[in-house]
Amino acid sequence: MRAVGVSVVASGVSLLDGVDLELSPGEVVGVVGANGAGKSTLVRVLSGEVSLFLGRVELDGAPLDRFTPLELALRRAVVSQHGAVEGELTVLESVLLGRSPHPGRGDDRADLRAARAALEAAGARGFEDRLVPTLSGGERQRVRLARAFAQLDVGAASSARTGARSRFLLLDEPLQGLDLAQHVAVARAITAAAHDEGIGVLAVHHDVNLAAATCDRVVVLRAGRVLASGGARDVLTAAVVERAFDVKAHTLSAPWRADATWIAIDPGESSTR
Amino acid sequence: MTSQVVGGAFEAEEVPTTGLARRRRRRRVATLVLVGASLVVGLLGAGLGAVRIEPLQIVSIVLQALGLEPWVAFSDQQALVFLQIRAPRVVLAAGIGAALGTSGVAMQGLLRNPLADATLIGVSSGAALGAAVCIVFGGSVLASSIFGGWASSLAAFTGGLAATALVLRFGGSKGRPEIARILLAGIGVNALVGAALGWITFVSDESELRTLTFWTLGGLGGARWELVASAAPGLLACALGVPLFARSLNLLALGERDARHLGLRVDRVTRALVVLVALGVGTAVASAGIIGFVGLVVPHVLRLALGPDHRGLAWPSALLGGTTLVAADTAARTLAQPQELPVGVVTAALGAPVFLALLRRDRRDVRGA
Repeated sequence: MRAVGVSVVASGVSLLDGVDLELSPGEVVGVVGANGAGKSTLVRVLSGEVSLFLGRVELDGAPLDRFTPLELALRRAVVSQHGAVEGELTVLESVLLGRSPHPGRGDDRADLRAARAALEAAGARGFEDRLVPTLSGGERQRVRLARAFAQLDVGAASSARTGARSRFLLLDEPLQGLDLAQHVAVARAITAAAHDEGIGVLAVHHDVNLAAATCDRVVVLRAGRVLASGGARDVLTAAVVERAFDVKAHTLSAPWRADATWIAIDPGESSTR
Repeated sequence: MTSQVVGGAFEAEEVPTTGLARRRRRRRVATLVLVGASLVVGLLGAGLGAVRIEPLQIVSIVLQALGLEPWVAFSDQQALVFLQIRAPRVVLAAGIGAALGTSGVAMQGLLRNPLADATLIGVSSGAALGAAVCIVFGGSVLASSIFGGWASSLAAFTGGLAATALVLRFGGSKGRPEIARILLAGIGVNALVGAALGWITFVSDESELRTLTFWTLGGLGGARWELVASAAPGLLACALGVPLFARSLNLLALGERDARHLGLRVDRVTRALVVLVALGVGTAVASAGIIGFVGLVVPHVLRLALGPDHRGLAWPSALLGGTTLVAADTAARTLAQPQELPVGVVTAALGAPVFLALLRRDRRDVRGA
């Protein structure tokens, strides 16, 4: 999946300004930036939701608007930031809805198998018969991830997959509402989907350290432009974070992990710029 | 014995589906129960009244009409009453009830609101306005035209569709309907139609006003085979068409955005459902006036009993809607013999307590299930 020179203007305000982005199968690309930097807009452009933009967005070498909604749904899944309040569906029913782009009745044995594999992969096994409205925020988020997994056949035996079309997963703040332990578990599930199953994952993150720890590459947005992009550890430096968020940031390291650093923001200091 | 063991082993290998299987089984049972109930209520509805006809006699009349040997004896009067009066009335009531029930499923699913019904897209009020214009201003002119007694029905149908067309026109941008806007456009159109209706009420004389009021209250007294035939296309379009969109409605429950991400063409589905509902409810109002409650409560009751999957709601809603209206109409014409109660009064009086009772039960049961 590729975006070239994408610009979006809404009501006279420039939301994205000449953004380039490349998302290959099997990698996790993080998008970080301050509120209003254009992260969600970028996800909406890549998902095909926003069709009025300048520039090009391609999927498998063809422009996005060349695909019908159904063809698109077989190639990319989206977990948007705010899900609707669902009715009294059970978790399994809710995840099975992710199977609807696929041919068939949507709840036959192959679909059930795919839904269960997706629940397993998203760490949501064990509450498939509970009603969605009774779930906690974190559980609900994992169910939404599982639905996206079911849509893309994640966790299913590769032979069950139809053809060799590339698959992409667009996540807008996938870890919001999760506690710290779930952060790690869900982030690992997403990484596994990318590395083991060859899915191209684009994930918007608020937390720069989380992005650094869980993404292969990172794109930093600032006011609709790409401020920096490249390998996660190389890009997310204190200097870049300071510019992206207008804060004062420091790099910390821990003696027991030579390979990792953390970025800390000092709330007492204001930006020097 | 061995075959049973093999069968058992195969069962065990099936993917276990406790909650899902339970809901499916419940749906199947409910459909069977509803089919049975609708047959019983249909026979009762056709049999009760000034001229009583026993269920077996009804079967025999039908058999004879089909050129077969009747089972039991019946009088010519019974046959005449059944074939010319009761049967078309029961069929029309069933059809209207089915259309109202499915229209409720469509509207509640589309607007993701269990309190939605077809009145929100202006079809009922538009139809009332059409009928009012015809009754108050058209009277002598239209009554003597080729349409004769059909004039107000035709005007109502046209009015209902015109109001819905306006709602669709204003309820979207660049020709694509949007669900939230449709709700707002419906409020606007309903207010406008209400103003026009109020003005017509103001300028009408006593007898016109009375005709208008009774027309609005609704009733199936005019049911003849010709009316059934003319109403069939619209009612069937709604009752048979809406269930085809059950899976789309399931996706819409996730929100418009997530539904679109799953490949649903939300604008097309919205337009198709609004048109089907307008056809069904427009026809219903044109042939029997405004009958409230059925479209609102039937899907709601079924959702409480069967869960929110629209594949399990659409057909049962058609069945329960039809059964409810046949029962209500039978009550309407037998409770105060020889007079007839307005059927809308009966649907509300019979159904509202059931609904309230279910609401109480819901608080205890559904969450714990």
